[in-house]
Amino acid sequence: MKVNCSKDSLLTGVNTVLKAVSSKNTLPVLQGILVKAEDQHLIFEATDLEMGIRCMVPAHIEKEGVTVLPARIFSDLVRKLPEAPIELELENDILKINYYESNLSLRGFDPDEFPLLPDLNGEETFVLPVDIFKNMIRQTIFACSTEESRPVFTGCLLQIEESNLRVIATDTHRLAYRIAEISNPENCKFQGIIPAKTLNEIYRLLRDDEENLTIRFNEAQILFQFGSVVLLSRLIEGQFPNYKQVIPQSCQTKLFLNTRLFQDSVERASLLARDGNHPNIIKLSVESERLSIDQSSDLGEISEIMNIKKEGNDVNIAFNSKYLLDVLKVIESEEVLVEMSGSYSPGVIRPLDDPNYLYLALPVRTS
Amino acid sequence: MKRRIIFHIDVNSAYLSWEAAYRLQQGESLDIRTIPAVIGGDPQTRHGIVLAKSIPTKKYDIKTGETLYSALSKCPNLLIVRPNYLLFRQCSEALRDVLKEYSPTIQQFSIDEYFLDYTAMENLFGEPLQAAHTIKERVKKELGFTVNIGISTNKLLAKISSDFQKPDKVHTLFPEEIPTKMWPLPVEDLFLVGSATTRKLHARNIHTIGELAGTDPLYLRSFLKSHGLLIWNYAHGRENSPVRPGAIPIKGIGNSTTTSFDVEDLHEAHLVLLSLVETMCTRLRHKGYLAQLVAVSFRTNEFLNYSHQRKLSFSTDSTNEIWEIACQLLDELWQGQPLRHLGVRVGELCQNDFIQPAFFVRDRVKERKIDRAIDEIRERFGAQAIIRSSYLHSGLKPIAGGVITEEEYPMMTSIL
Repeated sequence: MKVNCSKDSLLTGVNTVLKAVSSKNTLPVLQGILVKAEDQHLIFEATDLEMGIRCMVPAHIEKEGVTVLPARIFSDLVRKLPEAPIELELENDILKINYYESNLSLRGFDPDEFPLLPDLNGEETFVLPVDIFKNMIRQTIFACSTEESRPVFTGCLLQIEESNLRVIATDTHRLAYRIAEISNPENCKFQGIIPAKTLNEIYRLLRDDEENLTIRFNEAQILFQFGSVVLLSRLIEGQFPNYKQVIPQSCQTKLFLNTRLFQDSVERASLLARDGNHPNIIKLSVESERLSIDQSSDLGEISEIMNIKKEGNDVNIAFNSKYLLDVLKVIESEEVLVEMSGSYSPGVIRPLDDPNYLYLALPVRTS
Repeated sequence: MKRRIIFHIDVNSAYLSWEAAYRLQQGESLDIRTIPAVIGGDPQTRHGIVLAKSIPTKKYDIKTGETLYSALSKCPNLLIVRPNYLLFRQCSEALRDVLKEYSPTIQQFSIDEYFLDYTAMENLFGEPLQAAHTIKERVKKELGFTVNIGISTNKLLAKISSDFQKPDKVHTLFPEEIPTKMWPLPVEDLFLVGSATTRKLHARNIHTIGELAGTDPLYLRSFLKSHGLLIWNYAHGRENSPVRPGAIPIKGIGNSTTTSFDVEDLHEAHLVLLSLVETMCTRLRHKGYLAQLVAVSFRTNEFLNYSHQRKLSFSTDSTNEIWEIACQLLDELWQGQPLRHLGVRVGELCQNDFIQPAFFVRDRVKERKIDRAIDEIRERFGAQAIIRSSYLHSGLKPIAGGVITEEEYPMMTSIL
């Protein structure tokens, strides 16, 4: 292999695939990045067997070849390379990197041991609208669980059904639901749980000006293709619970709140809820047209009062403030509608001007 | 501010004197304090370790903590007495009742140790030394066992001075007496200087508390971290924690047992875990806590220790739920080695006045009610009054570990 390229193209390639490098010490070769020179392109690949990323960058290829380089040291070196023409040269399993009159060499792994990323060619294909999908990820992913013991909750459920695209995430204490209308002339159908880590990477790598996001999928895997990037991910096995049954169909109290003011109040109150045995639990009470959050701890006391518009009953309810703040941060609408039915039923939060998003959080039960 | 006066009351070889006092009270003529005798383990099966020993065992070189087997080989006619924890607690409470008359602020530090804040009590009971002698004599006369009382201005010094000469003595260790009374002592006599720290200090030629006090604290920190600074302050007699009448907040609750045979079967291992979880969760609920972390540990027949823990996204005090998690953890950790010891522990406790419910999971309301009902039955009719049928014909104990089930048994702590 002999390649001429810029530092930038190397850096783009390495940074794109780096997150897919295995952090666990299973197979040594998985801690490497595959670098392949082919067809006037440098191809970078990394995988931890859950997720794999491939990225192509233009380069001048004098001689084709392939190697696997240890990811940590290779990425650190690339970052520190000068802004100069760079030459890569592979001899046996040693990659020489030449710049100016200097050079360094890295010992690579055997590329034959590197697992192949399947292309899922011939599987069903669908094109997703980039901006909508990105926003859908942002508004749901935070509700995923990080607990490995129940894998189905560590990802988002993606559903394509007729002209509806849905993303749902829950950690069993709260649930985020986003629906969008899409054109689906061929009536493609898909349902699968995509790991949160995968969606995070897609969110990070997807540029807003990206035109097309193509997905290809089978029973166990899903492939995302955009720009020069291909991301393949395992789908999480298991049955996503019937989320529809937990979404309340009616409510006894409706609050109309200014999103930012409410968020600020909750944030301030949660600072004082940090102390003690129950970090983050805040108590809301609604009495006629006033919402108050009273919090006291060893640190001090706070009494937040908001004048609000209300329909229905008064209510006293306690929430983990994180469950409120997470959603308020991703709602852009000026006003939110909060629906509740007593102290023990889930509270529903939705942007007032957007019927396509819904979030529910279970209150904390006080004894 | 007036200087504080703190008493540390320490029962002389507590388990043994309590047992002896009890036997004398029951009409026995033999005082087991006067013959080679130990408390601990089971006299029939000769399992267990020496928990306390009488003075005459000294010449046989029997050490606290050694196995009964090895103690018996040193002294074949040794009397072994099974520990009677209920009696010990009664004795401890009787001592507390006496102490309560002398100050409103007393702290139980372990089953046989109390701190008493005597500050500003002089007008009622006289000078500290005089009051200490009164207490000591009263305990001897009314309760039939002897205590050592250490007097100083803080808990640390009081505790050290009660250890000076035994039995039945009152000692003082006021700050001005530190150079003469405390500094010549070997460094391992200092509170919180254990075997590991002692080894490190000895290796650096620090053998007495005085030498420790004279060492540069930054040098101590270089090899003992913050603990170095703590013991350096202790060596100077600096310590200012209050006498805490309440209990010290609990950080975790655990339970473990050494099985009478090597466990090799998964089902059996799960049952042993359940028997441990039963006691542990009763204590957890009794204290009003919920757990957010579960850990299991085991020791193989080759004496290798393993442990595995999981942080929960929720909090629970349900016996079944915690047991299920413990079983999962065991399954992940265990490769089928024969096990001789199993343990389970919960941590990251929070109070149970708030509960975060969840969607899509079994609602545990009913189980919580069952747990409460079982707790109540066991409290009223004894721990064995209700047991799970899975233990029938299993040869396993349905409830394992723990000293006393109903109430907390005060254990040693490193928090002054």
